[in-house]
Amino acid sequence: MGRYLLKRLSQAVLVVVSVMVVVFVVTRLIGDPVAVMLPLEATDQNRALLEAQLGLDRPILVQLGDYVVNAVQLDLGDSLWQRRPAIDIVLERLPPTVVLVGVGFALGVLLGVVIGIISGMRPGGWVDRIAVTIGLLGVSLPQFWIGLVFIVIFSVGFGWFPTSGSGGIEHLVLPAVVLALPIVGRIALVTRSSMIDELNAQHVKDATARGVSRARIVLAHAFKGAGIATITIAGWELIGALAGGAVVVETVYAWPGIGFTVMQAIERHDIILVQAVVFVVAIMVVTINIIVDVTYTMLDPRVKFEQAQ
Amino acid sequence: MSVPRASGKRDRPLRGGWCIRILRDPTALFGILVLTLLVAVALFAPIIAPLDPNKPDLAARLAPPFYADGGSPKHILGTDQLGRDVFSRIVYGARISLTIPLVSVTLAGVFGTAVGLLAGYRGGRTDAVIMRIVDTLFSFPGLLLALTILAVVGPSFWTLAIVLSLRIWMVFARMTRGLVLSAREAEYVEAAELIGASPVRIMMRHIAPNLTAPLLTLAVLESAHVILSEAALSFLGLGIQPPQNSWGLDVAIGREYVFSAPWLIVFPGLAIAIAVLGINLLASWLRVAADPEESAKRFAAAADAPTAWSG
Repeated sequence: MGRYLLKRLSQAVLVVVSVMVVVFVVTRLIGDPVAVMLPLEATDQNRALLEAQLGLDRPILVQLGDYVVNAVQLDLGDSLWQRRPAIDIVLERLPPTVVLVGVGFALGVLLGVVIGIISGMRPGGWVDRIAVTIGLLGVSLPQFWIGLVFIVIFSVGFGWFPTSGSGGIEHLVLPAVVLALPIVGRIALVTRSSMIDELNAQHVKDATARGVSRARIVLAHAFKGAGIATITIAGWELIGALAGGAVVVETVYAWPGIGFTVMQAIERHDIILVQAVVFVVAIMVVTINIIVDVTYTMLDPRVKFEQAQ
Repeated sequence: MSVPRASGKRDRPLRGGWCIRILRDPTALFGILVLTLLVAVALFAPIIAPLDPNKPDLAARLAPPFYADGGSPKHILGTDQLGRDVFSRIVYGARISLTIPLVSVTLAGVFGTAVGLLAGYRGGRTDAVIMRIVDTLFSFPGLLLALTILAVVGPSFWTLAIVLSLRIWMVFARMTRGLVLSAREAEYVEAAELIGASPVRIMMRHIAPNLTAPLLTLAVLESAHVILSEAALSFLGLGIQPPQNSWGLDVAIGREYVFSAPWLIVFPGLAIAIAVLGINLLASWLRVAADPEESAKRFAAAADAPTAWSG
């Protein structure tokens, strides 16, 4: 277990470093950071000044090394927009994102699992059809669009919720539900499919023959097996919500988290701040991956830590 | 594997060609119709669209759709803040929703399949290194990284298509590798190796035919993801840029008028939703067509790939 964790941890560091290198290479080699940051009317003098200020006049490998060494010490440079350490801004904006993603994810998994179990119990029935429809809509409807449609219906039409911003619980309802929708869809479809497999498995049939109650079979026997597939998907969903869904949903609802911040930073050509957001999200993503892998390995006796390497 | 307890209808033996089988299956039929419609609309956009999608008509700004008060049949889905016809914009937008997935999925599919073949066939060290890279890329923060790259490099049709293909090629590599590994176990492949067939011949004649159906299904499924990602990125202002038309871009334009002119977001978004739903249904059906035993579980296909990380 210890060796396994160590190995996973080194892989995680590798992922974070490669994300940073990709972002670095793209910004420095393919893009022109100075041109992106400066207004069109900037003179060559302005350019040279900014380049020197950011250290962009040094050799590229020196810059990269410098960047990685500083990043390890959580020094990601000063935001060009707010003129203070970018990491401070990211950490300030992180709690709203954690709340939004946390609530949305929990809601999505809970609903998805319940819908998946119920529909997997009787494939082809009318309950199943409704469940499958919900699942397919969840994975097919564009999130940003549903967000806007909900604003039109629930904020403008019924006046139940504020259209955007943050504050109380009422501000959280629509963004969290919209963030949850694709999660509900995918978790429901995957749970349903593994429930169908499990309910047909020999150990479940044996349990039925022994006279175990239906409720116990579904929950204790079938879902125990199906849950493993669900956990894998749930891990992906959490990562997807953090690295994708949050950006879209926060932008639609002006929710002041890191997703909203990254769009503001892009608008203001603040590459330093964008990099800082990517860095922090990359760390969170690899952490989630490790947690999912460890949970998975502990739940499924067939997977040994040694094999999982 | 036991046959899942499916509805009676699906237990019927499969008869007839694929054409008849599609006609019998309402969801697959819907999928095929949507895809056909998408292709037809994209191809014949100039004939179908009643007006120029980019021509402003300041006299008819924010005209409501035909069914609303003040709507007219001239602009059946209304007009935007510059008086451009919403229906015509949606018709032209189909071109992006068709070409972006076509380009991205082709690039990703060709590259990913080649990498997967290499890893699966060579095995050993090559396989280990390639799969480590693939695993690392799977752990990248998908949409966020795509956003960053597009913001720095500058959004355009080609950068968008390439960035989206970079996000999905690993799925093809992983699937191809898995298929090659299981095909190599087959006795006919071992037999071919024994009689001294060349690796290229084994690959092309004996292994490749096993890959076609699953990879095509995956390509259809990934197209749905690419459409969603393109729409989300265009909505965020980092995808398709005006004067090109994209449904996601149209929703972004309509966002300013969400209170006064909701039709500006409703119809383009509906177009995205129908296209993605249709393609997802088609992918689910293709999965079953290849493996009828899975028929009861088919819809899980729409939730399969871990790259569905988008809005």
